[in-house]
Amino acid sequence: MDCLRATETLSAAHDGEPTAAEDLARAREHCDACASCAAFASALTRLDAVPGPRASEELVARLTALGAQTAAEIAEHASGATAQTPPGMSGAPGTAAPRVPRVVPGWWTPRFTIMATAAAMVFLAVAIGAAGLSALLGPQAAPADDIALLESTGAPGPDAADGYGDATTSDDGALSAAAPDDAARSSAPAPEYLTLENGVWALETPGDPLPSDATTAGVVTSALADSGEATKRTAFISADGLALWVADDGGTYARFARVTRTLGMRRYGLVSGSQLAYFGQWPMLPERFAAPTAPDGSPTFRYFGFDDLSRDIYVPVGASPDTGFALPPNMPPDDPAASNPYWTWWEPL
Amino acid sequence: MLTPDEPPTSDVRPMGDSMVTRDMSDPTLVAAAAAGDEQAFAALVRNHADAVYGHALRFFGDRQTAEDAAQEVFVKVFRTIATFDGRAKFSTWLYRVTRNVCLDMARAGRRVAQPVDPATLEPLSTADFADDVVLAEALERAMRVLAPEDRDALGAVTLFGLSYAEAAETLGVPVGTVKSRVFRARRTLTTVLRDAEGGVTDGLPARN
Repeated sequence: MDCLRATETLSAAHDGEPTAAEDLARAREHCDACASCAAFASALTRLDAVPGPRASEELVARLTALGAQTAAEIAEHASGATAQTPPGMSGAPGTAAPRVPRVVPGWWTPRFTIMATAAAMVFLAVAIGAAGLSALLGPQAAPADDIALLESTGAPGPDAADGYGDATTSDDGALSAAAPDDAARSSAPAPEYLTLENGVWALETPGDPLPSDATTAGVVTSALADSGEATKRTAFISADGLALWVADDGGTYARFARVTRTLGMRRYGLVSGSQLAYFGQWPMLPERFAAPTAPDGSPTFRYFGFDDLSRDIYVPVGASPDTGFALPPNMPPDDPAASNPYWTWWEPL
Repeated sequence: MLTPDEPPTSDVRPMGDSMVTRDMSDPTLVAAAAAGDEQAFAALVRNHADAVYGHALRFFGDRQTAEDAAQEVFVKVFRTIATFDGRAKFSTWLYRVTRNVCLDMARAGRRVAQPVDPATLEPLSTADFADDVVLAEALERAMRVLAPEDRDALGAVTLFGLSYAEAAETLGVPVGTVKSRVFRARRTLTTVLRDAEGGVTDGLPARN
């Protein structure tokens, strides 16, 4: 056994990882004859003995106070729920969502002051500029030109200007542009999605061989392109339910992955209220939900908390994430719902 | 009300109608916390504050920022504790939240993790290494010269107690990659410490 293999084996065994007894014996045998690796082995123990970073008492006290406050809010919520619960039904306090106060870190205050000042100056400059421009152009500035510009960039019309309106469906079933407030993002094409029983899947590998242990999942309707004829195709699913193979037109299979995210380590899948028969279509909320009219999700949703990616999540009023949760439009690029101009809905898998 | 799994011992800390023991497992504490047990929250803080703070400190290299990050982590965890799925270990979830919070803070430009040049580490005398405090400080400085992915893997295993398989799932890499990263981190640490000592530390393996 060489030095690298021996030390790597010792390191893994030190962490309690399953290591073949024979490998471990050979690693120790190697150390008997190699001073350098023997020193590494002894350093493993020595490193462990060194105390790691410790949270200060002040920090622990602050975190404990946060916990106490959260507990109190849960209790308050539970007692309120119990009071409103009809006789014979439990209040399910464990599902209450405490409103943990957002404590502002120390570094934030000076930055907030600077940003607020800068924002005020920019607002003033824009107001002065607009007033001056308006005076120069006079009343003949044509609204029709503005509308044409909006249409040419795919930006929202007046009805969808808030970014929360419903998308519309054209006669051929494809989504037309009911775009959000961010024209740049709304014009971005959707990933190569398809739907199987409303679950959304994203293309991973075209021309992938079908594994022998895949089982029939059902039939999807997709053109497997952004145009052309959407046809019914047989889909096969992996044992873990997270990979899907769909027969393509070339006699091979395209592999799709379920679009998921986690909340409390529980996996949730993206669901679309509309069938995605063409690549480039965005998943939308299921029909049972009216599109929110405000950034806080109201009146359909209320703010709940964060998922494991620290994204804000929203739940239907009076519900918990046990049955699913919603995310607002225009998530950043590293999010599974990146750039989607609509609210998205995620259900537990 | 929280019911302890074991008979009351000297470690039992009664408060109101709840009792939390030091031996309680994370799933029990999480369930109790989700039901509004204040002492369960406190126990979770006691059990995990060091790991969360330690990860943040090694990420940012700055105590104040690490404390801000730790606070942010616990705010998020407390806020969503009722949704935690007990099929995964609490520490796995906590590690994921901690890592994401640190990355988000760095991305948002609130703080930037500063790499450290090994050459700037102050040499320590061999005698100093008898002192755990001095050695701990040297180690923490050495942590900062690790490649971020190596430091992440090492922290997942040594701070949060994740197995290689759990760390692999959380980091989205194969188990073998975690094994290599942890090993690489340890080898670098021993090498950096040897260099900091002036190259006379028990014949530790030389840097490749």
